[in-house]
Amino acid sequence: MTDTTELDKIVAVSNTGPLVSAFQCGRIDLLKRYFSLLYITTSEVQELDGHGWLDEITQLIGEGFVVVAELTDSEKKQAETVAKRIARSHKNTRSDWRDDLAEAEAIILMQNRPDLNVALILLDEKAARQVAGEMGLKMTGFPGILGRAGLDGILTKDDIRHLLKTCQQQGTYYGDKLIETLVENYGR
Amino acid sequence: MTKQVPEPNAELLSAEDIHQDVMTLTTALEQRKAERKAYHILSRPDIRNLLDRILASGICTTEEEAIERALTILISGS
Repeated sequence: MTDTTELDKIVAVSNTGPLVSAFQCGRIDLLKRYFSLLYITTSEVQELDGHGWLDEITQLIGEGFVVVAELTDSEKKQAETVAKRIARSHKNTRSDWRDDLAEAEAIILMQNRPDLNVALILLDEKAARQVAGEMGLKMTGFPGILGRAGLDGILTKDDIRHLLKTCQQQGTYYGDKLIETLVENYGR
Repeated sequence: MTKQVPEPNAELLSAEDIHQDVMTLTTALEQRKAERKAYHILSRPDIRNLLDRILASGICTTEEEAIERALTILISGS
């Protein structure tokens, strides 16, 4: 079992997806188990607000667990370039780069701010992950956090199945086969 | 307000992606733990004094070399 005392938690930049998954299944505590602080950007706050998650994110900001970082004008320009790159990476037909701006800002925040001591970016969306990977960023996602929690012995097979199914039922796309694979690989 | 997923049709992760994610998170946590342990031991005045003396004597050229050799001697006795 991995020892995660308070001091061993890490700092991350999070995109909206992993936060939404944690909100959907009511398990923000799993994020707090491994992370001392999550940075997000103003575009992400707007995206969360636009999709009905303002109260939840406001509470986490009030607790000090989530900190909103403002990008400089130069960084916003860089984020636009990254958003266009993500848009080109999509395998589906969506092509409006503005839909990828929140992910792009999170990527730029991690890349440009070594002073924030960020260890990872939390990112679940494949096209954005591809670009982040090409930029050399270390990343994990909400299912990866569930996997780590399973290996730590705090989530059973039934827990993992229930949490991912709960997210699935609320609109986050996790295939049934993937869920069962994760249950078998990481459940206690 | 109805709660929605920002990108409901986004292509998400494969089992291989998630395996890599678990490994990456594990490595980051282990690195943080190692950094904390290293900080605590290297910030002790007695340890700092020993390292400074070793470096000043020329036995080792870096703190890393001193620590590595000390551990090797401890386990091998030579």
